Amino acid sequence: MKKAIMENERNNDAERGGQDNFWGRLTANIIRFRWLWLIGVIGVTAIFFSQMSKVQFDNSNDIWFVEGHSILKAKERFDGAFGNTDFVYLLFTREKTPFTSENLEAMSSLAERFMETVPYARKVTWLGNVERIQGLGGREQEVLIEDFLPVIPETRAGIDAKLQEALTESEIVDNLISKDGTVLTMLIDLETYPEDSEDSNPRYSVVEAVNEVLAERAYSGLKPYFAGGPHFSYEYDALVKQQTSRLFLLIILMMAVLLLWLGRGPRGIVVPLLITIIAVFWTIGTIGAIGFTMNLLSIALPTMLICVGIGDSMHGIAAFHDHIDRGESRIDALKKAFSEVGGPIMLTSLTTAAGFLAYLMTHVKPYREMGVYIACGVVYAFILTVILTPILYSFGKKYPKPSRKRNKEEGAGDIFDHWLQLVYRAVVQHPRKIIVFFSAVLVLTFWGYMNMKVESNTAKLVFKNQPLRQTIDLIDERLGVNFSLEYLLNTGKESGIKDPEFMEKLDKLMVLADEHPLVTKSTSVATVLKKMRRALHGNDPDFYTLPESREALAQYLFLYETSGGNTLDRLVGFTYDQARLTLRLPSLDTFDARELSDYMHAKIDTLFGDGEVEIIEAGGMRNYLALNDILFEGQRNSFIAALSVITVVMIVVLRSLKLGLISMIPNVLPVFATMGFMGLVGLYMDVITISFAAVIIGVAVDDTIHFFTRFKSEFGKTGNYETALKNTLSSVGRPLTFTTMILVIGNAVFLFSYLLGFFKLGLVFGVAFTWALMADFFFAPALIMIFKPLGPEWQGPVSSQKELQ
Amino acid sequence: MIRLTIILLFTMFLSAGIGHAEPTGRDIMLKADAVDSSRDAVMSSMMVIERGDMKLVRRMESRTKQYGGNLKDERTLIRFLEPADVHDTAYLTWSYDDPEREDDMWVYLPAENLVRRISGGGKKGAFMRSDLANEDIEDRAVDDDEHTLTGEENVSGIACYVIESVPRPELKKDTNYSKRVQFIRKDLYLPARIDYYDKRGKILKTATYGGYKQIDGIWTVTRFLYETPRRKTRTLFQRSNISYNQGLDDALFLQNNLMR
Repeated sequence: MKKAIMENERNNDAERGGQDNFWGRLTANIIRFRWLWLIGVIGVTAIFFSQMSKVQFDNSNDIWFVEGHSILKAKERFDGAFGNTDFVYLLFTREKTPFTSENLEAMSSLAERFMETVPYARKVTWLGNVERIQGLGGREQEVLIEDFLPVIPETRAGIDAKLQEALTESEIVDNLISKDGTVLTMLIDLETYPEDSEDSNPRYSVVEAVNEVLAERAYSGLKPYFAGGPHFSYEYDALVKQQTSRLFLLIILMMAVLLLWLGRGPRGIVVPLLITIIAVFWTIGTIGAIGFTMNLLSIALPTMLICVGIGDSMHGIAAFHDHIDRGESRIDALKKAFSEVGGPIMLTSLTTAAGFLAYLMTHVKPYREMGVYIACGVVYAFILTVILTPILYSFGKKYPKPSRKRNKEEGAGDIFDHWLQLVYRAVVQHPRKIIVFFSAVLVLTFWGYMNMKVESNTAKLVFKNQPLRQTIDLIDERLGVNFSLEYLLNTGKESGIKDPEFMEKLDKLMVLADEHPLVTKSTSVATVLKKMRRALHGNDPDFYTLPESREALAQYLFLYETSGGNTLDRLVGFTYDQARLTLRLPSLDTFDARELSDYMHAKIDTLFGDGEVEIIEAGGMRNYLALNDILFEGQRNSFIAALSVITVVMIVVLRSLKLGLISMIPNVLPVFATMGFMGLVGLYMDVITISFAAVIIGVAVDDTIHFFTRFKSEFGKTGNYETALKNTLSSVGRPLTFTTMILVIGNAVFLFSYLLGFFKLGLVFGVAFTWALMADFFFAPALIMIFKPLGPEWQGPVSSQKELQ
Repeated sequence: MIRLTIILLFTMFLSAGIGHAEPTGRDIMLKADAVDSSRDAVMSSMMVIERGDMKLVRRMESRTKQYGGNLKDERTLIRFLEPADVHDTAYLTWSYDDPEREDDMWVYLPAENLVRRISGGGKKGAFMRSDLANEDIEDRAVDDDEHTLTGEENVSGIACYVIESVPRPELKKDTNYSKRVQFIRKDLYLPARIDYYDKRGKILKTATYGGYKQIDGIWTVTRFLYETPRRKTRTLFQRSNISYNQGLDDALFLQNNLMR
């Protein structure tokens, strides 16, 4: 009986909206000129396809920051003063590359070979060729400057003796040899990359050249680990690219399986997939056409787009089948279906787009780009749905066969019907319990959300079993120099650093930095001066001090400079106006890094408090801290922006303040229930998971729109909350359950990612969208049952009717 | 590196000679190098190093005297005048023609009143943060390179031999360059230009010579400019007050004279 009433109402609906509304007329036009429309779509697709090859992959270190950010300015200042701070290096471990005379000879030749082959190589340094300044003492106080290994020792004992000696040289330890003597490194210092060169990607050229040399037969025995910024980007990009296509195929496969189960017939599989895949191509084509770039976050683009875009066509197709089941002709069914769903899917597409566009409120560049891309893709998916679904469904028999199962009188057949019945009963019978439960979850997780912490160290985003990550861990364990915190100290005047007072302060700062337990080692020109002075005084440790007068300081620097000390460029500005202090650190979590940075700032204030010296903090660690700040702030901003826009939309759409506000609860609950939960149990958010909030709202709101608009119209018809709920569940309950399943299972492909952030994303999205549906089905209806936001009922409840039992 | 190699700065640039009909690259380089016809020399030099709009100025005075049977050994004393804070800092170098014998070098730092003997040191380092590497200014034996005459070309309207000089394989480790292409004036046997190629075979920097003057009967280069486009740097080297064969006192070139 209920079914009959419902269908009756639907027919009324269809007649009311009928073919007269915009969407109905549009669909009629599309079907009438279907070949023209089809050719149009193919033409546009061809244009976008041709633009896809223009897409550039942004592999720089600075993808996170929007132009003009202080971090980018600081980096520019640094590179201007001290040259390219990019470098790559190799690590030779004793276990994989025994330190035999043969292997050391090969390393020696490798260093030479790199200079011959690696573009932009400025200098290759390793234990063999690192220059050492020693005071030999004697009558003439001779000072010897030579390579650490002028010749490679031939015996085991000779080599061991030299390695032991290396461990006593503070400049070499933790730089070219690990403290425990088990790792040797080879550093390739790089020239500033040319601005206008044919080489579109200098960092990759470096990595490729190194790989080519390592593949040469002469070096096959060395088996080094390869590391450094350019290498990390290169490998990360490769991983991302490989993952992107893998995940893309996987999600298509997954969707096909889901559609096979949930949809009806092969067309139900092909059409939604085709539409979303074309939307992906259009989006990537757009990125190419407007000259934007893809980056490591873009791995998620195709997958996310398919997840959020596939719902449109599924709603259209579901409505089409509803009409077919009522015995209508194919063309009529299509027109009616789209006159019904055209509006809602446009609305849901726009709210989803708004959710993603909320990222424009952040200062995190990849988020902003991703926001634009997905918003764009969602709109494309909507346009393609409206055009292609009617066309592709217009071919075939005039009266397709209705579905047998759904056509049965009682209708309540499959598992989904049982599920919806369960929902209905729970809400009607236990609204207060439901409210108490969900409110508790909301309050608890909101508190967790406020206490959420962010880890912005991207190095740890890769799973431990990946070689890339293993290299990073190796460096952390044995060398502790994965990251750096840099300080540029600008005296603002030529030869300013030759002032002994300044140099003393710099030295003090360096000593204080070294005292900090998180600092592996620190370097500055003060070290060079002290070493020179000691060497000129017969290696007497008492002379490991700074020269005392301005002239003495200048002359030691001059001696170093005239002797070709080519690291000087890396330590002091060209006119001796600025100096550099480098702290080398293991991978730190953001909390520790901030603690260290604060410690340094406090020390700088004490030493240089008079403000005469300008001090700029930079380096990889500083970038992570800045990233942390913009992520945290960006996350809040985008969340608030999405929340505000969508709340207003809901209030307007539902034409009810109360109902509009209640409708937002199912949208914020999943945000708190996932992110807040992580905060509660002390799990860190990372650069990828932090971005969820706005996406969750933007996507979850689709379900809410379908649910609440339907509920409102059902209440308008029946005047009874329980009846309205029942009718709502039995009409949109099924597609809502389906789209949620699609989102959850679709995003689950991220669980196959090697990148930890994306793995988490798969997990968190799954949990979030499940919570979203639960809130839509239980929490919001329970609130409605209690607060009756649409005013008093004017008809008896349906629960008194027999069929409920 | 501290092989303070300013030493035979001019060796290469001196001398004149009359060309044969079909000289080889080595013949030409021998001629260019051939005879340091002066027994001693005194001069002032100024080096202006530019990077973007920043500038460093170094001024120095040098004295050189030839020693040994064939006058191939050489002693050089360089005293710096500018920048002011290194005024009077001095280097003394004794270099030997015998490739087996290491050069001797002493440095004097006036602020701490120190004289130290410096030994070893690479040749590849930059000379005083300029575009010149230490190896560019040191006394490079003609046979350290294989010289091939590849043709003749006009440089600024002056006829030059073009000679490609590739370091001997065993010396590769000590140089920044895969080769140098030298443009030697046919009339004076002095360089007009030298192109330096890095180990990857790409042009690294160019030296251009000028201000050719005949001083005390010896043709001399008084000006040269090194440019490294990829680093956006250039170094101008100028020499003045040049005089030859003044009969410099041997005592000038002893280390106890460094403290003056």
